[in-house]
Amino acid sequence: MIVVGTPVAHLLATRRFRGRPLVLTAFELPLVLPPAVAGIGLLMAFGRRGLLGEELSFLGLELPFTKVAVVMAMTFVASPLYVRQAVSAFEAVDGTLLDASRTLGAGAGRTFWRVALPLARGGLGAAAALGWARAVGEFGATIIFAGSLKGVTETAPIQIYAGLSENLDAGLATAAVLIAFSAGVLLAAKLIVSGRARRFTLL
Amino acid sequence: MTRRLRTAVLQVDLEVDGVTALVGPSGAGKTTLLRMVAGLVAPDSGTIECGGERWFGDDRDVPPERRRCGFVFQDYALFPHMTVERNVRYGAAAADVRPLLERVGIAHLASARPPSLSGGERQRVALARALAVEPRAMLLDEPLSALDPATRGSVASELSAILREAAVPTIVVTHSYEEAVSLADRVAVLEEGRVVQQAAPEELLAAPASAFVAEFAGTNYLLGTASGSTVALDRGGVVETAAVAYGRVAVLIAPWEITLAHRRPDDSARNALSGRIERVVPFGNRVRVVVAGITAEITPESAERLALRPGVEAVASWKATSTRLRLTG
Repeated sequence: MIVVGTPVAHLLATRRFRGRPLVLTAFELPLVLPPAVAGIGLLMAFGRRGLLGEELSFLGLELPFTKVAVVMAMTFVASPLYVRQAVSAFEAVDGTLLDASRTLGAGAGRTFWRVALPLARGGLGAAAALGWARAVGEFGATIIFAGSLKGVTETAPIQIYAGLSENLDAGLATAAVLIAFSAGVLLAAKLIVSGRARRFTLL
Repeated sequence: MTRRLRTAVLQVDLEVDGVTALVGPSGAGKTTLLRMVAGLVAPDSGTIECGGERWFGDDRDVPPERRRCGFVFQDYALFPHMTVERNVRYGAAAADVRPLLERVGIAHLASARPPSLSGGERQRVALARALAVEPRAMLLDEPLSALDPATRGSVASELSAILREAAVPTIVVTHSYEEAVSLADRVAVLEEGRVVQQAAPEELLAAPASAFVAEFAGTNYLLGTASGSTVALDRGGVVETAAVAYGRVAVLIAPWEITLAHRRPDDSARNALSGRIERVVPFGNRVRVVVAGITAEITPESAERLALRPGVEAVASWKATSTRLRLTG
């Protein structure tokens, strides 16, 4: 999510091209899509009888109801959150600094690594934390695309759901862990962002 | 080269050798012109060349990182996450930037970060960083405007020496005539996207091509209608001239030709306009006094003797023979 999302966000933040709103919308779509729809969509695309099912089984790959499926579902739902935030992080970097880098002999790639990325780091960290938290809490898309196989694709929220009918105490324990985790991530994200802001208001 | 702007079409034919000051009202396209030379924006058409190498035109568009333009941005655009030394080393051609830091007088700041520097120090870092690439052209966008007036004068003379030493074609955007005089050999005036005049600074003062140039250089430029050896000014009043003309004209009077007094002169060969003093500002080793919209340049001693202060009534007078006319059509 970060490896692909970061350069995409940088391009979306610095380039103005025709169809940019369309691309942005495509990236944000999973954000507003009900997770169940996302899960069905993934199943239709990558399932055994899905659009790419034949090609995948030809390659000997079977995705649904595996750990890979869990990761795919989480990425699909969480990445728009990350990209959205990362675009803002890159947009906050003063464009003149990127221009300065170019006139100093640095190509687009070097400018990205040495100027844009370090200056957007705080915002990107916060974006990643939020995306990760969203991924951990993922339920709808995961249960449809990856199912609920104990020890394989049973994520924390799914375990809580299962606990409702089987073992309420285990479910409660998991819920407590998740509350602590979410609070921790949120706090960390806020600290990163405000620490960043403090450093730059000092400038 | 040509490029459409928000307000006008920038259409410029400019050849720079030595240091040229680029002046003009805001929105005239000065910054855009610099950005086009650096390759940060592309002209709609036209050509850009440097030292015989084609940078833009005929399907060529050399990217900024291969043009090697030393660009000093208006707000200096220093990298806030790097030390001064790393800023300067960022695009440096030489491995050791110490000598350069010493030359611009910032060696003691090498490990400081830009946010902690003063305006004057930042300006030096930006200059050193631009020089470090061993530029083939220097582009400076109002390099002194972010400094306070007290330090501007001394920084200007240092900057001038460094630019001369660099000995590459240089364009300096400025909005001050004094800065243009101290930094540049020639001044190019950009108005509504066009170069209306390109000349030595003194020439702008002697023969301004437009009201903007006259105001910029600080010479007097009064519009009116001439009939014979008199001109009826648009602002009211009549002035005598040595030349004979008919129709729309601009009356030009150099500020040092104007004498200030408390009473009207008896001499009928002199033109006189009276009013309250609007401004008294030091200009180099002289003083410029604005009276009734007319700028006079006098010595500080006579300003002192006449007790010239804003609000005081005064008469500005000048000889008919020091009045020059320019037909404006």
